[in-house]
Amino acid sequence: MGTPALRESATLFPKKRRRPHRGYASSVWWFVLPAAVLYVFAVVVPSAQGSFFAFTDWDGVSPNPSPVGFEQFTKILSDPNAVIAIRNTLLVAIVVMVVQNILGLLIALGVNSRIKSRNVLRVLIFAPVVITSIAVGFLWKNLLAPDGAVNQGLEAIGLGALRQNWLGDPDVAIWAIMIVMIWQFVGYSMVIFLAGLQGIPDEVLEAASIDGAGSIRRFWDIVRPMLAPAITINLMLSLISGLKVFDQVWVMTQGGPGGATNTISTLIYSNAFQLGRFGYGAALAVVLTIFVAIASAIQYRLLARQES
Amino acid sequence: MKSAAVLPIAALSVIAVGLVGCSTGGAGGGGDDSTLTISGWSGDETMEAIIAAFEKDNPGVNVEFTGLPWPNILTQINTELVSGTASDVVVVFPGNGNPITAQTLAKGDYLVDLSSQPWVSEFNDANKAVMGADGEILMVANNFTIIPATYNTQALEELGVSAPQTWSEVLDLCTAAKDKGKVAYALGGLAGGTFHYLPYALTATLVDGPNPDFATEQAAGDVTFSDSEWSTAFEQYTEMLDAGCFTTDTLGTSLEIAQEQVAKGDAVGIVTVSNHISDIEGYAPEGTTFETAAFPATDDPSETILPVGLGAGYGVNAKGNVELAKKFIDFYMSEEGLNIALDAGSIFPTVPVEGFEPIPALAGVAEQVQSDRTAAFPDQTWPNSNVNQVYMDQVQKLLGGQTSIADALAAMDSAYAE
Repeated sequence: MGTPALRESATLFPKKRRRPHRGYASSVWWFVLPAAVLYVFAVVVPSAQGSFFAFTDWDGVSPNPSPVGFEQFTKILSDPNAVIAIRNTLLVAIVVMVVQNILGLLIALGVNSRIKSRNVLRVLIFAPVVITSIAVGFLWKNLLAPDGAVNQGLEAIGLGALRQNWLGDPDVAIWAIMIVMIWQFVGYSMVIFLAGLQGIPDEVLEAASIDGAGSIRRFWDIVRPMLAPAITINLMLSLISGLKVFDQVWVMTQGGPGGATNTISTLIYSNAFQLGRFGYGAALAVVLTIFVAIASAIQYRLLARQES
Repeated sequence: MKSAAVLPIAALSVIAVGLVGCSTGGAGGGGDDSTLTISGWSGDETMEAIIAAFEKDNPGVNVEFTGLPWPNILTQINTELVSGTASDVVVVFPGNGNPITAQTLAKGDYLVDLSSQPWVSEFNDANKAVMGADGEILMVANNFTIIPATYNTQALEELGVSAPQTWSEVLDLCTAAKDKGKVAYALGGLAGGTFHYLPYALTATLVDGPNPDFATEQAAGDVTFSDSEWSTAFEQYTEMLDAGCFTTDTLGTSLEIAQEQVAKGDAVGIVTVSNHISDIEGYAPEGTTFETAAFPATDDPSETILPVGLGAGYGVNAKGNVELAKKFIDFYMSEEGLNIALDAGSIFPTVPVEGFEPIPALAGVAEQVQSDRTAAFPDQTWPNSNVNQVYMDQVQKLLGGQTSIADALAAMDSAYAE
């Protein structure tokens, strides 16, 4: 803070804005160049190469793949496994996104209150996030076994009628996998919502209370709009991870029984790396990329409009 | 140096370092004549023992072993062979059906032809047919994999029966086991389980027994799954399912749970590959013993054929240290190498070894293997990996009641024709 005289002189003789040095702009680009080249080398080129194989019949082994145009893409539409995988991928992405974020928000509201054990609860709920998905898959594969802890627990509390063949029933298995995904990542959504909630000033909520706003009104008119950035991030991340789901499915069912839990990612892996149908796997990967891009763009635009 | 010049140089240096770090380092292999690299199974103590003996017999030779787990071994070895960075000696499966089988890899000349090696003459034509392609021998395995029915002897005694020798006795065992609150045959229907082995056991007797040329005729388009005894095999499989022969909720049962069931006597038997016997023994309480028998599909025991296939073995990377790799493969198949493998436990050697005694659990099928009343695993002659994938899916669907036998076989025929 300067003296009044100095402040006056600063107003009378405004400091001449310094123009950037002539070489400044070009030197910035030199700093960007290494990262840009590495990005092109590690991401853009392999992605382009992968996309190229989607237009060939490469089996992952033969040295000279033949071009087949859009044949691999048309095959996707007539492949019942691919249709099931696309349906499952969309189902998982939407259900996990909605349920995980509703639960994450409710939990965040709960542990943002002044209850005594809130820190312990935050840690417990966040803990599954730091476990690798592979480990989570193996853990739940055992818990969901026909005589596993989940069914035994249901029997023990008198809910034996709800006992299921969780991973063996084609109609139930995909839902069991979604429950596991939500269990694992609800803490992730909770943490982001919690950070958003802690950025809302208490005075605003107190003023609303004094003005007679009830808890639902306070949530809808104050908390929800101020949480918009957190909602955007959470929805985007959960949608993308739902579309890409692989680990949990692969560990628990490998896409079975009878292909009932395949997702686009598991189908990409099995076709490209187990069945030697690299071209078909690459075509599925291109489809997945398009799905992710379109879904993310639509969601981002809708949520950005809401934020503004 | 002026700063304007320093920036580009620094930037390019970072790029160069980055690219060097990302590079693969050229062709694979050990890098010098006295170093041999091998990619095998993680935790393969038998291989480690063979390597130690090889190094002892060849002073100055250093063997670097990389153990890889299932199923990563498939993708890693395949990718390394294609990119020219594979070890000198790599795991290769016989026949077709996955990315590192002899016939898949034959398309790219990635493996060395071993047909002039001394041990080749020990193998019969059926085996040679799945060890390579177009007259070349691209891999060799020192052990057979067998698909017997493995029984918990104490559980059989508790029921007062012996291992079934006929199809009727199989169904009788199912009834007897159910009456005692047991499962006759543990069946892991979850992915990676045991659900796909029992049809192989049935088709060995029903398909390959009456027609040993079935695979050749199928390749020529003269026969199909749908118009063969495969339909009888699937009928018998579903008959067992309907008769309550298998673990309840079989599609949700993992390999480990199925193994535990037979190990602890909750199930009387299991139809699975011989490699699993040591795992089952590991789960079993002390004093439990196991016995094996060929799984019957008819009521005439003399018709029963045992599925026996070459196990996973090794091939030589064409871009590696070829001479030293061949020397190692010869050692692996030598009497000394085979004896080391036999000392390590549950293997059935692919070539005669003097004084060989199978482990006690495999004694029940030893005579049948040695007298060659056997058939190869059908998947080793299927023309593409997708047949196997479709087969697995269809068997799971049959167990789940989601398809008919006719539709399942039609789907397999369709995959075969791709």
